Amino acid sequence: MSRHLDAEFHVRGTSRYVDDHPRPENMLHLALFGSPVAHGRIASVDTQAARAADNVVAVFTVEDIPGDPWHGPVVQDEALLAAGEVRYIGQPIALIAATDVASARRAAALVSVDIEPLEIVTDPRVAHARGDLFGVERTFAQGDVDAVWDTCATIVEGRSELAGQEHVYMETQRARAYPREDGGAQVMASTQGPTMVQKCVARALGVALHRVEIDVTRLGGGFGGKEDNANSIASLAAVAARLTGRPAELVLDRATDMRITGKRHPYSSDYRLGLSEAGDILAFEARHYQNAGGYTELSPAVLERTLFTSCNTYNIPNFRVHAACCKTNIVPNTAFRGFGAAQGLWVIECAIHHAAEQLGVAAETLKARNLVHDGDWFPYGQQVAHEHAHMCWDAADAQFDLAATRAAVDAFNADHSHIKKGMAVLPICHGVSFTKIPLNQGQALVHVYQDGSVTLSTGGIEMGQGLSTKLAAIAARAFGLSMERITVQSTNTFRTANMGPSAASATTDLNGNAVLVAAEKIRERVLAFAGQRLGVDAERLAIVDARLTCDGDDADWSWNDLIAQAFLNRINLSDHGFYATPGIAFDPAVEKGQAFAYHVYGTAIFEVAVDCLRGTYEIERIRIAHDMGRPLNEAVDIGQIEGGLIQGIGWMTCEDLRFDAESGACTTATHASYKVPGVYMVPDDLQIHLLEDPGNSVGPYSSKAVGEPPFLYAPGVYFALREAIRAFNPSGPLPFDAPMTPERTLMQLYAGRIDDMIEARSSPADTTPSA
Amino acid sequence: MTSAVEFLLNERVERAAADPALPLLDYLRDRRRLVGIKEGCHEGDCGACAVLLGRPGSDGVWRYNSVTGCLLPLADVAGAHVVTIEGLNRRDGGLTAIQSAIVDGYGSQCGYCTPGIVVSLTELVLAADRVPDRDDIRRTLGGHLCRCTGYGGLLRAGDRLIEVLATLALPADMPALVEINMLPAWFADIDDLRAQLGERPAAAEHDGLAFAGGTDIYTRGPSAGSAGGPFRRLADDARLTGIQGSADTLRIGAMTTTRQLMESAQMAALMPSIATDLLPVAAQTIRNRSTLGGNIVTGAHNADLATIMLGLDATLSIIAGSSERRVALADFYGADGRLDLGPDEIVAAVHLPRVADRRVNFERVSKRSHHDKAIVNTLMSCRVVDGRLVDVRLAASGVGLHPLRLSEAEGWLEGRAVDTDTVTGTLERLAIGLAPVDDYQGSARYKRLLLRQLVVAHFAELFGDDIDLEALTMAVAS
Repeated sequence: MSRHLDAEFHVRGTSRYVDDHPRPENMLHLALFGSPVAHGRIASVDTQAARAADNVVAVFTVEDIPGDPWHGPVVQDEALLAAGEVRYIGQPIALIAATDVASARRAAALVSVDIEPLEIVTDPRVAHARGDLFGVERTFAQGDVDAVWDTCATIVEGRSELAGQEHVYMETQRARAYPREDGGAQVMASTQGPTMVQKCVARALGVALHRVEIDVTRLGGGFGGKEDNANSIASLAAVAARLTGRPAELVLDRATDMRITGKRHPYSSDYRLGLSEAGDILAFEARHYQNAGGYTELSPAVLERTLFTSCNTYNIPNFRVHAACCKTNIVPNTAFRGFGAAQGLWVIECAIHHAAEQLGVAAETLKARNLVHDGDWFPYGQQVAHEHAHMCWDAADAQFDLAATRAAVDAFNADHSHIKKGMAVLPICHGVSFTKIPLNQGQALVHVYQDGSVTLSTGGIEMGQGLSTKLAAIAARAFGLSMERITVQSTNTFRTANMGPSAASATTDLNGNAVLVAAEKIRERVLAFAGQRLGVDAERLAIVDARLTCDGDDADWSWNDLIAQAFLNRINLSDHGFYATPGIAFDPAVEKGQAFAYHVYGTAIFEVAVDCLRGTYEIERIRIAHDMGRPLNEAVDIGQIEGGLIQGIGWMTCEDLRFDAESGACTTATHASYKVPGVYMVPDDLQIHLLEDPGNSVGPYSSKAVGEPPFLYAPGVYFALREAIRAFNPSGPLPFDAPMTPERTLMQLYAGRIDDMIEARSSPADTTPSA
Repeated sequence: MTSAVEFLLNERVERAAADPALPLLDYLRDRRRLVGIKEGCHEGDCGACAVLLGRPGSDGVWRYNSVTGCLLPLADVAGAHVVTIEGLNRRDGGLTAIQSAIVDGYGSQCGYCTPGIVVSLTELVLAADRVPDRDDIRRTLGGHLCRCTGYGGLLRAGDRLIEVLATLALPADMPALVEINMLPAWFADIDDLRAQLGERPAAAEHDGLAFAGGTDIYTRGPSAGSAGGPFRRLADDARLTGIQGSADTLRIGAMTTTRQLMESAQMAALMPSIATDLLPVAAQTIRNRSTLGGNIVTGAHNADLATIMLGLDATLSIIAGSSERRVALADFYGADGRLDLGPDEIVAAVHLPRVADRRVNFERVSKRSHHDKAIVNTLMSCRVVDGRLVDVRLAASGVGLHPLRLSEAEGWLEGRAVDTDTVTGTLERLAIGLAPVDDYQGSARYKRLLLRQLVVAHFAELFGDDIDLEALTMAVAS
């Protein structure tokens, strides 16, 4: 199997991220001054002191932006530098350019602003009640929920609170811009969406797209946080470059990044679930209040994904789910691996666990009997086809024995009073495609050079997910070469135009298929040339291990010689591939359509142990049966599954993102206060079983997307913890609030008794021990 | 303020003309443009800027610790050997066995955390006096955040490394480690390199903030540039180092690092669980730098070392010039939040009494199980004489301005029999005088409950058979 293509650079520390590239002469360093308050009207901004500070070259505010300062992926409602109003703490107001980074940051602290405060809202339900929404409330529905409640044997209803999540990409937001002679800019950006950045920069500079070059070598982590957050960072660098005529670099320090960039959306949700006597789901109704933050950003798209995933992998004949983007005064929240899907899945899972607890049955029995079958309908109007939900569930059962696991947990709990175990089974179903249909296109430019080496440029971004490795594998296979003959170039808007962002788990599918198209065109021309030379039908020729074969026998022609000859004979050795996912459509007017090319399925089993004295816990075992199609690179895919899973577990356990309700301040905006999982979070017993070649007709070489689906397993850890807590405290009414921090764990273990436990008895009169 | 700081940087002698307070990370990345070192947080929490810091111990043997460059002032590398990722690369472009293990284990995804991890794994290999196990690998990786998160691949890389090390007689010298490709070739000639380093100049006495390991001071300032300074560096003051035992006390120099405390046999004799108790306290990269004195003087409301020392009845030796005075640690933290420490005074050492047959238990809970600040911690020590508790010390942090002794509870416990009623009486007296606050770590209500539970845990750990845990946790089921 091939290695991760970048790993040899990574381990030597020679991989280049934006600010690792040699600095150009006279480059400026930038820093931001942001709003000290979460909501208000700017009366005046005073930049005098900052301008006068040592080594400062310029200070810019919104009036200085040469083009249109307004930006946003859905609605252009936020200015690159605040114009009139601020809606969240840290919203950029001024941009400082200095000859060194320390001077720029020091000068930023010298800017002052006079802001007339406006009311701060941080609760999405409050915003919703006032009608402060981005866009309109949306509803996905099928069947008739109202008609069936009366026929349900069991109905549960409740509410859940779900915190957001900070991306903590290890490389903070950054960009370096060079001014161009034509008023445009050349930008090295850390972005998942070069075209998005290109559009934002062009708008800010007031030039057409063809004057803006965006180049991306790789990201030090993205996870959605650089899908749209990156646009303003790159645009501000480009504005400074244009206005000063010098290269300019903006690198956010960690605290600033955590304070001002959008994160995973917190959600507050209500649900109602109805079951038949036998345990079939008859009806599900929910309302999601998405905490969108101060500006529209990608919130409506994230919200849509919530609606698409609100049924998870269950057949729900009567379904009605409402969702709204609620406008509040926290950072404008954005994409994050799972992109609203995780929040949608979370609520139906809460409802099922709630019902199971009420009925006194194991939740997995309800889940197993309600998995979708081919022919069922997803609530968004797509009929279930090529369903692998049962295949995954059955594989998990066969490999890891659900009943035995359950029996072992129950037996342990019967024997132990202060350590309780819990288990949960979490099946997932993730639709693959951008639900915004135009984004489902991929492009590749493939060159074969005279020496036989091959290079690829695509619209995909390497951000650790192994895209380059997979693209190179696809090209190598198409050409019959080893991976060493292939390089994958930076992603560049002048080599690839009109790209969608690297997101929605679709990057390999779209760009890999495009590579395949381009490579096959070149291969066919080369083989046609060889056939002509050899006087045989090209159909009989192939390239295997960099040698030409005819009917499977070596034709005594190496790839290198063949290419050299083809060049001399003026055969075109370059081509462009284009791929658009076939057969998908979605009509938001009726909220129905064949939204996804296919679905990824999987089943995870979590086992945890809770220390009921201290409220701490350990994840003991995670076992997963996952549907990867036919993997392009199994080790890379395992890394993605483990990575998404652990990232999700962080969201569900120790990542405790907090905003102060009164000030709107993020109170956990440092590494010291916001804890992402460390190596101790990963259990030794973490087993991943990939389904054996279930196939997939759409992905390149029958592979399946892998980026986001494994993240969706994470709520399983929450439900396993909840079960262990309930084994200790079966009577307490426990809320469905995540994450399950040690604090929540302890408070739930003793819910109902805490006042008695912590109260100081003021009767220590007799403190002398009796003899 | 600029002065020349001389040290070894990889294979060469480096003379850095810069502010001695400048963090090494900024010097290397910004001034020297050695960009293999990455900035992830600039607060010592992510490990992306790890470098090896080598210096000779009191025995003359050079030891290399992995430390975070962001919290390390240039002044502290004077006369030392700094090895960055660039220094761990083979000149021929090939990979060392450590690097290959990560590549083959698919332990690198976006790559940003990877150079620091190579550095820390090298620390493990350099210090290995036996074949490491997975616990050692986890301890080594503990301070490195991989957000992608490739921990599974890194653990598999660690397994490969263990296999390679198992083929070697350990401890191995540099040439042997070079021979099996754990290190690039230049390490074989490291003695010659060290000989090029001039005599280390005596540290200049500066006025200013007393500076020990920097793991607190350097997280306070702005993330760019220096942390301020000038500092009065304590690292070279011999009066502040070493762990020496006498018949009835143990003297621990204030500059003793958390790591040294963890690994001290003398400390373990006083408190056998010290190594495991301190494992969750910070990351190894931080434990290599943070000091006992720093922890005590910083006196954070949730300090770990200070709580332990408080519960072990520590006395501080405080010096000013040539004078010395002693103060009980319990009296060092004033009720008003102030420390009993004059502006010119330095905590030089901690003295722990040796108490025969003492029982000790330490408890702490943090949001992330390891490498995170305690929300609440507590240490209990006592003796049992004729079935009764004697010399009871109960210290806790996270429930007040500074680490404190729970004197009401201690008073209640002294002389009582070990039984459930005694514990119940203790719990009733816990809340007296405590003022935990609501903050991002948790609500005041939670902290009160947690302290109660951890005190119950003391009794469960120390006297499990003598108390009715069921009754004390008020099993909600009943």
